[in-house]
Amino acid sequence: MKITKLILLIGALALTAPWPASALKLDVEKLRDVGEKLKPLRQPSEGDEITLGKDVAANLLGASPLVNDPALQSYVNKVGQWIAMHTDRPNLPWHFGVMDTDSVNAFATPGGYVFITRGMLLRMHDESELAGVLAHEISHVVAKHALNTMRKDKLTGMLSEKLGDYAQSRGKPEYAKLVSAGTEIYARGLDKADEFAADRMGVVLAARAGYDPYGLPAVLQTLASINPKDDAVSLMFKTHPDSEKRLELVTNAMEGRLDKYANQPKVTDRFSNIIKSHISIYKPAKTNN
Amino acid sequence: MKRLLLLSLALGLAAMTAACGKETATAPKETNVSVAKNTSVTTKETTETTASAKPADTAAGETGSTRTAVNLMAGPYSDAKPAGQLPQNTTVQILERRGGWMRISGKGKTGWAKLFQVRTGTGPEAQKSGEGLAILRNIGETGRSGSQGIVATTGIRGLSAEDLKTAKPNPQAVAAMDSYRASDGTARQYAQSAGLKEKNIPFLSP
Repeated sequence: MKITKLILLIGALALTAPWPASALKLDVEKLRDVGEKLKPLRQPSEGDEITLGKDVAANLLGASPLVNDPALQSYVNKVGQWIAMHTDRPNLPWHFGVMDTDSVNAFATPGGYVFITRGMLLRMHDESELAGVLAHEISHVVAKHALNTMRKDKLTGMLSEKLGDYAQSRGKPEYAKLVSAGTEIYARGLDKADEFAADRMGVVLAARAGYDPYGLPAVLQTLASINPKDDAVSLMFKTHPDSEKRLELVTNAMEGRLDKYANQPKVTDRFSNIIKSHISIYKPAKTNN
Repeated sequence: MKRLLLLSLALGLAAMTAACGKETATAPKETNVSVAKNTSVTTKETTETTASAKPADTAAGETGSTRTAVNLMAGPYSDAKPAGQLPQNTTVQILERRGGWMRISGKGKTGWAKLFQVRTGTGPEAQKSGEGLAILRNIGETGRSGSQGIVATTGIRGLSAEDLKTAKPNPQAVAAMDSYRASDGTARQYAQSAGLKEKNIPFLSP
């Protein structure tokens, strides 16, 4: 059915476009091949998702290592795990990490690897802000935003289709290409619609976990107040919609529905103590690059 | 008190950046702001945002500016009574936050504005420094403030698009992440110890 439509469409295009006469000779067999390639891609299994996400996470950590502070890393895992328990995918192997970079950013790879940069963490004022950002990233994972972006991409889509079980494909060059192309989507960013959706979902997750859901809006306001020319936000701003717009959309969506949870705890003291003791022991990690 | 110190630091930074050739919008005046124990810097500030003019007991003790013209409301809700109007780029004091709203005061008017209508920070110069904790971090790292304790805005230890494209895998770091994971039980206990109570809340429609 789809192939027939495609043939008609290409036929119509061929007739209207000013192409040379030879190009007008339609090769039905070739069109059938094209049709095959355009069929919906195989949905990776949850196992595939986790394998791919772990290998993309290894690449992200190659670009920026973890902060060498086990207490800080455990703290972020406790907060993150608590949020993740309030999603539809509580049993994914959730991992949370603070990356040692001054850049302000956060990432999540398929299968539940969530990262926040030290530059972002140090701009926060309380745990509800941390919870809000982790909840936004957790939402990307739950809704498979990054995974679907990889599947939609021409190269990664084709590669993922060619490969069988990802765990068994790990030695193959096609899989290595899939992982590095999968990493590159973090340099380009997701659809704006995915970002807005993760904001809307994230504030609900934070409220479900018992936090003041206005933590994420507070961070968006901080971001919206940073000079866009600051190097610390260049990648973040390149890959995300305007923070001011995000702030407006998410607070409008919250009004009348989540305001009543604004009195839930922000957890300021615990956050502040963790950050202070982190600052007192901090030594920059060695970078790979 | 700590907030005040951070504020002073931010103002000090703003002055240093301003001294590097960038003029502030309104006529600057000279004041001395003590930055840390043994350091003080001469700073230029706009007349509307002097540190002494800020009430120390405000919720945030911070200033901001309006992004657009703002219709102030008498309460933190859309159908509250109007409480006057502020033009775009008015310097305001942030008195209180509640949900998606901020109570602000400027040009003799006080009322509630939506979060997205207000830019936080004391002005375009201070914004370059990031927030207080970023400054605190540098004090923590260098053990002092002053010119070497100020956050650099360029040449940072950053993560760029190019870094991501050329990244080589770091499987040891991924393995280390396993050791930091929290079980559901640990996470629940930790949440309870902070007084967090679970709620059953449906997702928001777009």
